[in-house]
This record gives sequence, C-alpha cells and structure tokens, in this order.
Amino acid sequence: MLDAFNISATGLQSQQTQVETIANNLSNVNTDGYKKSKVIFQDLVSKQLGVNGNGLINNNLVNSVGMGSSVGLINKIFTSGDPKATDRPLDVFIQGSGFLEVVMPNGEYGYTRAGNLSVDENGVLTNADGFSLSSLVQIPPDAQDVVIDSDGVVSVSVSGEEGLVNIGQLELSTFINESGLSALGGGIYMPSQKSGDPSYGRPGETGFGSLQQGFVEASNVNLVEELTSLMSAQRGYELNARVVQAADDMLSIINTLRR
Amino acid sequence: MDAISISALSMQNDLRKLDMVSHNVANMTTPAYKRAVSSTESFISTVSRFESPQQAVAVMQNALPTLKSTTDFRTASLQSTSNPLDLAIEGDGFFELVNNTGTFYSKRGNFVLDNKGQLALSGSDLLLNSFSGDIRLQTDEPEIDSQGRVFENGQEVAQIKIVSFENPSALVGLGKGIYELGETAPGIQDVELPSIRQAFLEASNTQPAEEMLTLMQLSRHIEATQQVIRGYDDMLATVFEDLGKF
Repeated sequence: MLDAFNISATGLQSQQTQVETIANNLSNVNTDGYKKSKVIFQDLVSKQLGVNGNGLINNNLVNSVGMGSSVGLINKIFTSGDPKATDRPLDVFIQGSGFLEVVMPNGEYGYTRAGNLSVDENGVLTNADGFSLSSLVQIPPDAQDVVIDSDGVVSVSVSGEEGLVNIGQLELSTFINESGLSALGGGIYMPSQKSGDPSYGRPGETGFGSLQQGFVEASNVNLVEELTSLMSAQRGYELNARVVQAADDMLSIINTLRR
Repeated sequence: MDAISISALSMQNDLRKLDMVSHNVANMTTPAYKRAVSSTESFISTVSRFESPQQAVAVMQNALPTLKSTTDFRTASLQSTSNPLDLAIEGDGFFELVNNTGTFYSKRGNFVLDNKGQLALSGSDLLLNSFSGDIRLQTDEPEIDSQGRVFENGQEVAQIKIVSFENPSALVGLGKGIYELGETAPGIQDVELPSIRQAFLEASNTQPAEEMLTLMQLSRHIEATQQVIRGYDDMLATVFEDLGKF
C-alpha cells in the first residue's frame, strides 16, 4: 500500500534528470557546435488485472494502473546553431546539414559540427582536439592565406606564385537520423544502429550544407526555453515532494488508528 | 458489513486515489499525458446492482466498492520545441501507429526517424501510419502542414492519418502514452480536417491546483475516517467496560 511513495519517487527522479540535463545545456551555452539535449518523459502503466461482472474489483483499479513517469530517452536536438563571426581563416560553419569526419586516435571515425579547425605539426587540418580530418588536407609551410570556399575547396596563396593553389577538398557526411548518433563529448558523435551509416558528399550538393569560412557554429541552446523548463521542473519537483509528504501524513494517520 | 470494515474500505480507497494523484503529478511534464480522474460511487448504488443485499455483502467482503479511474482526454496547451519531427494535434484526434503486432493510438507526437528513414514514435517500434502506409523520409527535416500532409523538397510524400473516437474512454492505456482498442467499440473514425502543428508538443493535462485540492481532501477525509473508527472503538470499549461492571 505504499505505492504513492514509489510513484512520486519516479516523478522526483524524472524532474531531477530534467534539471541535470538543463544544467548541462546551460553550461554549454557558449560551446561552439554544442547540440542541446532534451529529456522525453513517458508514463508508466502496469497492466490491469481482474474486474468481475458486477463492476467490483479485486485489489485493483478499473482500467490500467498508473505507476509514475520515467525518462524515455535523452535526445540530442540537431537544429542548427547561429553562425558566429570569428574572422579566423580556419573556422568553418556548416550551413545546413552535414558533419565533418575526423579520425580518432583509436582509428575509428567520429563526426563533428564544430568547425573550429587547426593544424597539427605536419600542417594537416585537424579539429580543435587535434583529430585529423579524414578528408586529408595538408597546408604547406610556406602558405600565406588559406581560403576555404563554400564547396569545400581548400586553396592557399604561396609567396612567389600568383593566384591560389588548390590543395584539397573538404567532404561532409550526413545521417538519415541524426538524433540517433551517440555523443562522445568534445562535440564528436559516433554512428549507431539508430542513426544509420554516413553518406558522403561535397558541400553544396543537394542534401549537404555549404561551408562558410570565418564563422563557427554557436551552441543551439535556447536560454528562454531552458529557463522555462527549469522553472517547470522545479515546480514539478516541489509538487511531487508535497505528494510524498501528504502520503506520509495519511499513513501516519492510519498508523495512529489505535491509540 | 460493520462500520469498521466500511471505514477501512473507505481508507483503502483514499490510498488508491492518492496513488492516482501521485501518478498525475509524476507526469506533469510528460508530453501529451492524459490525467486519470478517480470517481467512487455511493455505497447504496453499488448494492442496488446486486440481486439481494445479502449477495452484495457476500461479494463485497472480498472486494472493494467500485473506484473508477477515467482518463481525461481533454487537449492540453501546446509547447514549442523547434524540433521538426515533433507534432501536436490541436483538438480532437489520435495518431494511428502500427507495428507487426497491431494498431495502436497515441496523442504523443515526438517522432524520430529510424535507420530506414521511417517515422517512429520515440521510445517504441511503432511507425506513424499515413493514408498510404508508413512514411519514409530522406531527411529529418520534412515540412508538415496543418492538415498532416508531409512534404519533402516541395513534393507531397504522405498524409498522416489522424483518427478520433466517439468514446475514447473505451481505449486501454499501455503506458508511454500509447493506447489500444479495448473490448467495447470506441466508434473509430478518420478525422477529415485535422489540425497539426509541426515543431510543437502537447503538454501534460495534469492540473496542479486540482491535484493539490484532491490531496487536501484526501488527507482530511482519511482523518475523518480515522475519527469514525476511533468513535466506534470507543463505543465498543464502553460496551465492554461498563457492561463488565455488572
């Protein structure tokens, strides 16, 4: 007969997960390329048991019995963040869908939206964490200006030569179900069974975004949305706690039936 | 049945109602959650459904008087989510969902694409049904108009099927906001002109104020019942003590 406690506890846990997710989103409000997470709640129901012909029930409610709420899943929301001008030549903003593919130290491929690129000691383009892009582009040591055009063509101007020299091509990868990607941290995502396999293409082709040099993608966290969810989670937590308190009071009344 | 048993039943019913309040409150932020409303019928109308009072007593020794849980299917407010695969139905109607075990219904519209590009209800293997079978998409950013027509690159690819029920209380809840048809016919029909909002989700229709009021009523009611039991206990005590003096 202590169901009310357990049911309210599921509500408290759900609201706590909500607050934790909001905290994570808010702490990444200035992380380039960060994609917000969203908790989706579901109601729990236990199957109905016997109802006899007279409409009376044996230790059970008519219909199904509610058993509280649970966290269904925590989804990444891949809506695009706003472009943020940096004037840094190695920053690229992906306008539209697509991920840059990087090779991680363990040899697996990871996918990222954060286009704040840099170069390693050999001049190879890497992401901010130093993982080289799988579309290998090496910038020569005597390069002066790096130009990345909207189709992903990387070219440099070299002293003593006129015009730009084409040194490589950036590719993008897309997934049929982006929200099925699993997040690794550092803005890197791994494909999973839910996301499907990547398909590759050049920026600007149909289905792929185009690149914009000198911009990075800002975090897509929406402060107003997060704060209103925070308020509703807080109030929800409060009300659940009240129910626990009331359940406790009622049980104490029953316990003091006999003086 | 004596006064103590009746009071005990009434206390147990209060605890059951408390479970329902807890469930509603635990789901106050669950998308498209429909609150459960409890109702008890009077003792005498339960008894009157039996052939004789004796039979009623015989049955009710082992069972509680009816505590009905009805689902309140009223539409709640819509929340903007900016996710193109979130859909909310304004007003009447349910999404029709299918998998290989049958047909299900839901008001919860947070859909995801599975790895084949089919629109599935998140957290389940149920596919959203359209008038032309399941929906296959190339991208995860389709355009869906208010009538449920799904467009991709300007081409209409499907029209989402929305159904309504004359008697939605005949639906059986399976959890996760999913319902299936019960034994009684709910009077299913297609909604000709649905009103669907893309990038919105329906909120939970739990009413915090109402739940709080129910909570207060329940605590007071159980307190009053406690007094009844104590009063009866006092009477019995008087009987035993005073009669014993003779």
